[in-house]
Amino acid sequence: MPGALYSYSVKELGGAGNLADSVAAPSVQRPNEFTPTNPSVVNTVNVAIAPAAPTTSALNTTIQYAQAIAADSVANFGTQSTPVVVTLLETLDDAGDLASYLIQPVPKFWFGNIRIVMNGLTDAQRTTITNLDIGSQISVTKTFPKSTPSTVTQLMALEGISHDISPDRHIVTLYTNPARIYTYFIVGTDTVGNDAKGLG
Amino acid sequence: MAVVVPNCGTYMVEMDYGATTNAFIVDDPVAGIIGSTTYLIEGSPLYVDVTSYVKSVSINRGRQNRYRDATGQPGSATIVLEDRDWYFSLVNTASPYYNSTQGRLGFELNTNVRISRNGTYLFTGIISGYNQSIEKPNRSLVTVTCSDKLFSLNNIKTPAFTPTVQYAGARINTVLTNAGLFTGTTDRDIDTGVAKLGTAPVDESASILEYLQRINNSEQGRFFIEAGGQFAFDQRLTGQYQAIEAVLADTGGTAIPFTEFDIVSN
Repeated sequence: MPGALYSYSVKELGGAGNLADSVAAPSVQRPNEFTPTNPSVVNTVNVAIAPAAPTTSALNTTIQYAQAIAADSVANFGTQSTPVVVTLLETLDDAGDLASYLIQPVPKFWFGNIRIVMNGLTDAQRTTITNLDIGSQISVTKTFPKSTPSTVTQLMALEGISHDISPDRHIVTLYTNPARIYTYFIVGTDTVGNDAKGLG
Repeated sequence: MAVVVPNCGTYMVEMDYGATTNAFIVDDPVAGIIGSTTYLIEGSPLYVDVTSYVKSVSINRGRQNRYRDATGQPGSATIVLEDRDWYFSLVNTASPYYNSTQGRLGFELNTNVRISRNGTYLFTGIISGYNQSIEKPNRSLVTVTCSDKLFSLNNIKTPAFTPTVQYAGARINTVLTNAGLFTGTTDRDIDTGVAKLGTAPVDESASILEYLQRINNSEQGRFFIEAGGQFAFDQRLTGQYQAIEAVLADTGGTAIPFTEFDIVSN
């Protein structure tokens, strides 16, 4: 399932398996095994599936993995790869889908760490902020005095939220990441090709 | 007693000190009826409102950057109490929260905490640390550190089993059910998942939290404890409709204003 900016190929690695445990590894060591040293660009992702258990007729197990490569990104930034990570996935097709999902061909930026002082809001606005939780989608618009375009709006998904509450104030900080979700496309209003709009 | 923060709302910090309500009592004509849905064997935690003693509260839930931070890290809260009546002192046997059966203060590791604004929970969890400091001449400050229930999943091992082929959401449900966790009808908010998981056996060496991390390594969604205490799992998002729940802007009107932000990169 090649994407617009990249394609991936599925490879099979032969030889005896020298595997990570097929159950959990301590999270303190590698909380997310796919996280490379510098996650700004990830253009080569290797996702393996757990091998079958050895049998008397097949003592040596083989690691099979899918590899997604964003060729244009490799040309621009060099190879930025993850290690081969053994997952719990069932098939190489599943591994290929995950490898594609994890590709980050170019650096991203977004509006994050957004601080809101609850004291300055209306009751309705305070209720809206109180009801936000991880996974909520928000939009953020910022105007810039010396920038083109002068107004930028981003759709974000909340990944984290913090509250600092004292007897005289309540400050909320929203930790956002770019949304992979969209709002309805409105005929006559929205433009074709806007990744943030969909048919629902 | 809940406390009003001017121009913010009504806040309440509640802590459980080991007492219970609606507990089953043998031979009691009301609380001892077998089959009652009101009176339960272990009862429910009896929360006490400590808000009037609170000096400050900070809450941190989730992660800041999904490209750099792992999901499934326990949320935390820190509550600083101005203990003017010494009710929260570890050495005061006359405190109303002293548990004479246990011979120690009732606020202790793993007792429940919840923090709300206008009745909506901002944090639900358990005490993970309790520290009392005394300043001259006799000022007692108590710092209560709390974690949500993901914290306790690190101390519970998975029962060994060989799973069937399942989507990530079903596997999470299986793991939680096998361990007897979040078993209430509204205790879980779990997506189906995109990743289809194979039959690699699960052994008893892994903690629940470690295995959930392993599942999510295959899914790349997120799991967390919601502000109200439910276990939540969001599947990998590949483009689907979701409503905008808040509109923030510095342009005035009805949009919610913010004071500052960073332009963050992955």
